[in-house]
Amino acid sequence: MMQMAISQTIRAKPAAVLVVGGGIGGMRAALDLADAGLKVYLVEQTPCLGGRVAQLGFMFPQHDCVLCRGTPDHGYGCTRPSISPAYIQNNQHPNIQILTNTSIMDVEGEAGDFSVSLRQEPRYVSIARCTSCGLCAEACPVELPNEYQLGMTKRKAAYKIAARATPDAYCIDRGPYCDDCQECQKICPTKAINLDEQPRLLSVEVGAVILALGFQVYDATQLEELGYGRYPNVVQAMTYERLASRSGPTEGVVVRPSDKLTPKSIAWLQCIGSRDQQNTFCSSICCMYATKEAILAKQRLKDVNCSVFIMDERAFNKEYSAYFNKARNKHGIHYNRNRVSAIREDPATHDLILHYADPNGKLHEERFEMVVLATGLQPPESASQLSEILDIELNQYGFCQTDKFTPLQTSRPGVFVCGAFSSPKEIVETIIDASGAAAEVMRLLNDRLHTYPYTRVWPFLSDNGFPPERDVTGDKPKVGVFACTCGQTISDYLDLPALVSQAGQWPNVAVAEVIEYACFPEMLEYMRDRIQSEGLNRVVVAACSNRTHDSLFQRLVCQAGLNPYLLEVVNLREQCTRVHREQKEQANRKAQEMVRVAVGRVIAAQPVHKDKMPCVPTALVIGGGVSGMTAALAIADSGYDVHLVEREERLGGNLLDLYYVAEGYNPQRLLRDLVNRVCSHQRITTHIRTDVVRHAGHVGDFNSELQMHRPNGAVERFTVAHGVTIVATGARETREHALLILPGVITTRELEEKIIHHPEEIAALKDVVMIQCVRSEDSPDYCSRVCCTNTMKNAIRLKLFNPNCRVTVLYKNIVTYGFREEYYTEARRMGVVFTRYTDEQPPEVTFDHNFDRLVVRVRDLTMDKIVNLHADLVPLSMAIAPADGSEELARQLRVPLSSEGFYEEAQMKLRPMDFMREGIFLAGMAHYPKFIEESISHALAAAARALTLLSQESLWLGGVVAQVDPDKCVGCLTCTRTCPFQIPQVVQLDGRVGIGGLGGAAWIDPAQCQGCGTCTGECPSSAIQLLHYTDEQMMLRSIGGLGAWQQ
Amino acid sequence: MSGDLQIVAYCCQHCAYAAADLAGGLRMQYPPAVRVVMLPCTGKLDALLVLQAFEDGADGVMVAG
Repeated sequence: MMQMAISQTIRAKPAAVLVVGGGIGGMRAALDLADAGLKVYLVEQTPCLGGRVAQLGFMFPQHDCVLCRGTPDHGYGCTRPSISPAYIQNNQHPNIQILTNTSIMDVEGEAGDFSVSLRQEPRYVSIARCTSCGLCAEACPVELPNEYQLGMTKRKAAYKIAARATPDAYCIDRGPYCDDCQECQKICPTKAINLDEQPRLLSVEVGAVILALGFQVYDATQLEELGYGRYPNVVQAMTYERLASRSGPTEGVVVRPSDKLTPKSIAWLQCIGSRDQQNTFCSSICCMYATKEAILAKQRLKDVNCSVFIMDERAFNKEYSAYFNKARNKHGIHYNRNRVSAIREDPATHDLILHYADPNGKLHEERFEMVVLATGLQPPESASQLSEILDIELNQYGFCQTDKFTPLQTSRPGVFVCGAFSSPKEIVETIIDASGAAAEVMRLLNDRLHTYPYTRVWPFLSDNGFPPERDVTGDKPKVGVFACTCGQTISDYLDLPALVSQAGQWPNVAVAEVIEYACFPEMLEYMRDRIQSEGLNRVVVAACSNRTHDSLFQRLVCQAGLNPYLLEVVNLREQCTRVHREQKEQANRKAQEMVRVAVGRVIAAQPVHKDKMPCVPTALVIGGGVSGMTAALAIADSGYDVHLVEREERLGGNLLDLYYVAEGYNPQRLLRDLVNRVCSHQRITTHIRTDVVRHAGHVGDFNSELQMHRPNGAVERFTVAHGVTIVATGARETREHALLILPGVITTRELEEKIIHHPEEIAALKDVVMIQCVRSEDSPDYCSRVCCTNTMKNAIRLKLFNPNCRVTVLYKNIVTYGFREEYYTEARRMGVVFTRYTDEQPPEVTFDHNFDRLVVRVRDLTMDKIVNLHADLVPLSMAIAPADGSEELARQLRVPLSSEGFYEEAQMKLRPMDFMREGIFLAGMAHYPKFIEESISHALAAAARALTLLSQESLWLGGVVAQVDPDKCVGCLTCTRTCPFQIPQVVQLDGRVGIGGLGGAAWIDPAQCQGCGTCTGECPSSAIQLLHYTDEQMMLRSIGGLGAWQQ
Repeated sequence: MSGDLQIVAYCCQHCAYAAADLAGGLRMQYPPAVRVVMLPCTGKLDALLVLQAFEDGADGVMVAG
């Protein structure tokens, strides 16, 4: 009895997490948590995932189309896809449960143990049985504005919002406009529609909650003087985004709404709903997206005139400055430093007339054919309601309240936040936040990581429960061809019986059959039985896209005891019947050829295996600043050992010299807290005065040689084994500038030291001129991101010490993005004078010996004349440069540096904390200059990515990778030069030598190879083969090659 | 011979092949002459593959990635 009572009270706490919001942030967070072996409920209010990003066509600054970089609307990411494959229905991560049309009703409990009530509205369509044939939408008589295209096209009440929405299924919108005709239910060929479906109430037990609610776009109708909503050719940025997108209503050809003609002149108006009286913050992203839209216009529309009306150019991330320069110099986009006061419309032409004053105060009137309002970000619609349900605080702007040093925690323990819900931010910051929030959850639920282990054999194909694999080596190929009708989607256009009877006569084909709905469980079971009873050893399924269905059919052949690579999926639906509807004869021939090629390929196919390797459950963190310590603590708190390496005498990095921040928090308290926790943590081994001198191995199994300099001068070398590496080597304020020789010219950091240690000197100052954006002449030009806010904080201090002190700030652009704008406002309110200068006429600083004072000579652009400013002190905001030794370390780690000298991540937008080389991650200022809170988020994000590997007992490596035949290798080094990941090495391994016994042979580590096959195409002696894409499989000589139409 | 053209399109599985899928999803029509061959990356493309396609009777080769 006693024992029973105990077992009842000690209930296992949930190893599950609730992620609210199915945009890019929510998806990223869910994926990291799922990888770490936690169960995730991903809750989304709308019928599909994707959020705002799904509506974007291109991403700044590389103009990667979102299509190939991985959003759920479209498909995969690049090379090692980052997000979306895990959300493709048949390939879905086993630990993620997607709950669409779902909202939160109530949350009870405490951190580590919450009980959440959810309400799921009916979709009326079974996701499992919907094949996206679209007959329901054709039958539906109700037309509604398509919200995905911002009302520029129509959709039906039975609809799928985007061609490749996730979940990949239709839904029925049964609002008051639905007349309940039930045509959709009657016509559905798979009986997937049930109009009697009722809302579901669900209750889930979770250990933590992550809020990824995103944002809503500012409603520009509030600004009546701009005419949005009244003048047809004044559009908001999201509308322009759809017009410029290939999947938009005009397939990417921008037309103006009034007459559907291509505009000859377009104006962008910045800061709509930002940096004004009502919305005092900066929306952070609009400068960049407006520039992107203007560049796209220049690239696509002939002779278009693009003008951007802007206050400051806020380009504060990697390569963003270069992007602005390109926009201005290469594309000829005009940037006007103005705020447009009003827009008038010419009623005859619907052209728009803008009134503005130039910097000299002269009034102008300019005519444009189209005006785009760069609307700002507002807190998400659901923010206030959810904050009450969840009992979390919102800040003065209505966004989620967070602390500077805990940027991802809400006011309620166990509830975390990521993305634009905490402050306006773009994709890359959202991704960083999302992984960072996942790390916070992993720390909280450290005793429950790996509760739901999964194995990554094929991207997300779990190997659990498959029968042992049949060895088919040496067996005569016995191919089964299954052609799917897909309802009538395929069979209406193709003569499948003729196709299979033809296929049945080809050599090695044992079975050729037509089946209906290959993806349905009953058909999968049928095919599995056929494979087993007929003893097939190769399978061809002619159905729909292999991108969406490979994993489903791979699972099928695994269940039938075959290697998953002895399968070919023929993409008859997406790449034949749907795109050649009018040419049935040719489509039939093409289909036959596609199947024949697949048969040829599958006959040449060989089993491919991945190798299981244990992961050393230890991390190496390089750099002991705020980022390194944060990452080390997140990993150690989650239960894994860490080697923390710091080159200097003390832990702390830049934090050692930071005494106060604009927000008023004390960085020294953070420093003490971090150092105390690091030093006392039993899982962290700290190595000070230590460098990494060698870094070898691969993900899960690295070996690094560390070199420690003892205070007595002795040098000690030792080796550590680790599964992952985090690079957090930081950055430094540069000091290389001729002006710093002048007395009274100091750096910002020196000013801060003075303010803290010699306040009496500061109080005595009468004239201070602060100069922004100072760098040595030979260094690259980029925005150091943090200087403007630091200058505000210092200028405010100077004014507090001595209100009569004349403080002048000479700047090019004030970059106080997000809520930091309030310090700019505060500085101006206190009387700090801001004077803009340009690169053409930079300020000149001289020392006037007659007056014994500094003189700063600058052109005042407002008055358009040169002014001489006397100064007691001239603090320079010096550029922030990568830490010394970055180049050497990058060479050791074999990772690249960007043009600005910072470490280059795997992908700028979607993988900001990963390197291309697996198992190595990036955190903090080593990536780019950052604020403390941003460094903390980035460090947590790197820790989360590291924990997804550490929490697995073993890793699956290899698979579809390149293999070298050493007997053919001549050691020419072509592969080492062409590999984009620098993986091939010419080594003498296992006694292997190349032709002529010279210099060894190329070796490609299967644990590192990314499987792109570039080396195989370049190898002059054809010594390299990419598994599953071997020459034999690609050339298809046995069946007459690719080009043979007729057989 | 039917006299139809044949174009072999080598497509990167992550972008161009996905785009071809999207064309299918949107029911955009294009000539059946185009035969899409999926590559893991356009880097995989070997000059021999292009020559081979011509040798086998292709009228054109398209590389997209």
